[in-house]
Amino acid sequence: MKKECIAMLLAGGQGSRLYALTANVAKPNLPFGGKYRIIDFPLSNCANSGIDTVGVLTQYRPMKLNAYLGTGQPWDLSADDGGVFILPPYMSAGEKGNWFSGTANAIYQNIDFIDVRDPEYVLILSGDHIYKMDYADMLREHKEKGAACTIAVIQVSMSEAPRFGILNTGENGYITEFEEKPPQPKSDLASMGIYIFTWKKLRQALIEDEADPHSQRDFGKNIIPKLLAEGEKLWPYRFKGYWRDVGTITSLWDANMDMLSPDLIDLYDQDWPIMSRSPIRPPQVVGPEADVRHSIVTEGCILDGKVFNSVLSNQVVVEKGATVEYSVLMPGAHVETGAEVRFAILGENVRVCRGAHVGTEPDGTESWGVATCGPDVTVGPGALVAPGAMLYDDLVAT
Amino acid sequence: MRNDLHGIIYTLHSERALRELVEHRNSASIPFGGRYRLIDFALSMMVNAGIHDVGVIMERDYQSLLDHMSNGADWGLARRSGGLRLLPPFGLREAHSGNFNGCMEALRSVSSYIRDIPHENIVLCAADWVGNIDLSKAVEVHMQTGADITAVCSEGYGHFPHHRLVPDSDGFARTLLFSEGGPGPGLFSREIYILKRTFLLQLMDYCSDAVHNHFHRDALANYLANGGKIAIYAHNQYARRITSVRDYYDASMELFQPQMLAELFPADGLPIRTKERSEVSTYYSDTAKVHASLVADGCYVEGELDHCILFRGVQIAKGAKLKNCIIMQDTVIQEGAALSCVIADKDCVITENSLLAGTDRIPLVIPKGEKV
Repeated sequence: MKKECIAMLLAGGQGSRLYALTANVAKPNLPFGGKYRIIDFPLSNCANSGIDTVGVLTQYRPMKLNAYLGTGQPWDLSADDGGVFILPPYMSAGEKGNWFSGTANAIYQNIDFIDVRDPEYVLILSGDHIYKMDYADMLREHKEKGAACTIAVIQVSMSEAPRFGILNTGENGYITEFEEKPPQPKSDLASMGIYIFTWKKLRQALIEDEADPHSQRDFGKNIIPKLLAEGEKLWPYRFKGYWRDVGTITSLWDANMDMLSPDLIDLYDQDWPIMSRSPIRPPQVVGPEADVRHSIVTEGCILDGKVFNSVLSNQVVVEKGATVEYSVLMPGAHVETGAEVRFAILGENVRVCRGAHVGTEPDGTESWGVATCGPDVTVGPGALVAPGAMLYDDLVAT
Repeated sequence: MRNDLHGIIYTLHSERALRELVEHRNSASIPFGGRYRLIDFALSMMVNAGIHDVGVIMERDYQSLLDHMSNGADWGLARRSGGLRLLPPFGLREAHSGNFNGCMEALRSVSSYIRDIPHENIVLCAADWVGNIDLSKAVEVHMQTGADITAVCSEGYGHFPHHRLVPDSDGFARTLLFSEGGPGPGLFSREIYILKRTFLLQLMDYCSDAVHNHFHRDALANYLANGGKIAIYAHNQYARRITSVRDYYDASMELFQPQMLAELFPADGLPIRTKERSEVSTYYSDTAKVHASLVADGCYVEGELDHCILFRGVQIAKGAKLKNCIIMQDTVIQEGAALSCVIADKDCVITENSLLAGTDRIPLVIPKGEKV
């Protein structure tokens, strides 16, 4: 049972800045890039990096995520002595049981799970990033540098830096300071929220942090500063390549559009496949009237309208005479004849009825934004969804 | 749900008219419909009818079939009790080339397996057909009539050689017509039979010598000649046996009829399962022009398609023009190539500006792995 390194994937967050899209599902379960769900990226990275044990910490609306993960078989994570383990909050004898009160607390509550595997190192991941990374290489550096904690970092522009957790390093390259969203950043190294800890050190820090009544039980705010203050060695692992946080409507839309540029992130790479659980559907049908260009389309789609610059998940229907441009259509979305969808995100099973309009092209105004329809919403015939709108419920034309 | 059914899928001697398509494989593993192999229809129909124990009798050239089915997990048949049982042709006493002359010979080669089947009824199904039928309805007929044997028949007619059963007024067939060509009396046999296990063993006992190899010609004909009768489950769904390159091409082109497609892949239920691959979605570039085509995941399309079927991982480069083509897994069509009525097997490369044309009567087949 002893493992060198296991992964703990934080998948309990609500993703509240995605509003209607995550009202009923956890963010990691959100469809992405046609074929995938967001969690496919860290899970596939684990499998490709040779990490065969992944604890997935769930809390917010986990039912669909649990069903999606199943035994972990689609990611080759169903070995007898490893696999995907879903870890919800639980009760113990004589206790009331507690929700995970922070990222660090989620791991604290699962110390037993980790102890059973007795790993040297623990990799902490989050379920809301799109990237390909070899964690084995990061682990190699962690060992080489004799660090208690290695934080994956990416270079950002100084103007973006205030939005991130920023790391400052000393002359020897080790981390000297960690600032969460600094107004005046001293460096351009942003934390990617991916950590490797030497388990003994993390275990100790988690237990001590739990005893601190003022702690927010957060890795970035509490655990990392605490290790720094104690003089532990923290090393930045510099990642070069594509990495996006998809926590907001705009960033989710942007990252989906990035998938249309294969030079940004190569999903065709046979050596580093991103794996997913796919529903059983026949190939996509491109009809006689269809015009599909610069788009990603997935199995089970039936297209007979115009589809430009868009990302379509499985079982999307675009009827004859409908137009879809610069949009993200999640599984089962249906655009009827004469409807137009532009600069929009349609959640799962959204129906845009005859002659309805969702979103518009950017018009240069402040208020413009990507229009979003939450899952299962119906946009009635001729109805209008304004740019930047967030639709939670069915809409009837006025 | 628990039932008392056991499935046997048999793959026979591949028809010569399938030419290059069976050069490296048995007809059961011919790729079809963008992401399937012919055997997927038989396997999926069994699984969809709640049959969890399926034996596959394999003829020679079964390497690609083994590779495709693996442990049966993609059909939900990787099970501790029952599941998929692969039956390669090495159980024969006499020296044998691995070619079966008929279904009875194939069954004879695995007679000890059949004798050990614990289930009362056996669903016997040929593997070289395209079609998706709700077998649970046929099982219902079999149970209700209490017949020794129930045949699944189609009310349509086949363009290909087939057997016909002529039902009497009581609904049972006592007449069998062999290898008919076009429309005729009765119904055509879909080559799916539900038999009581004891009855199948009787048929096998009768066909225990090397002369009686055929299910219809020998086993059924003898049974009917001795007063036997066959219950009929008739359906009117799409069904077609693939016996030649032309059949294959025609069946593929029939997928562009929305009715056929909907019958093979109904939107709600009876899914056709196949081997899963880790695949990305398909990308269509700015230059893509796609008209009436069926495209699997993992393709990269920059050229023009008209009535084409692309399997997983196919690349169509800029300026390539394809009409009425079937392009199998991972084949690459380079810039400026123009193809019509071409069936390109797996892993082919069609180089820049190649001009290749078949006709709809004689489609051009590029064998697996060829560079043109």
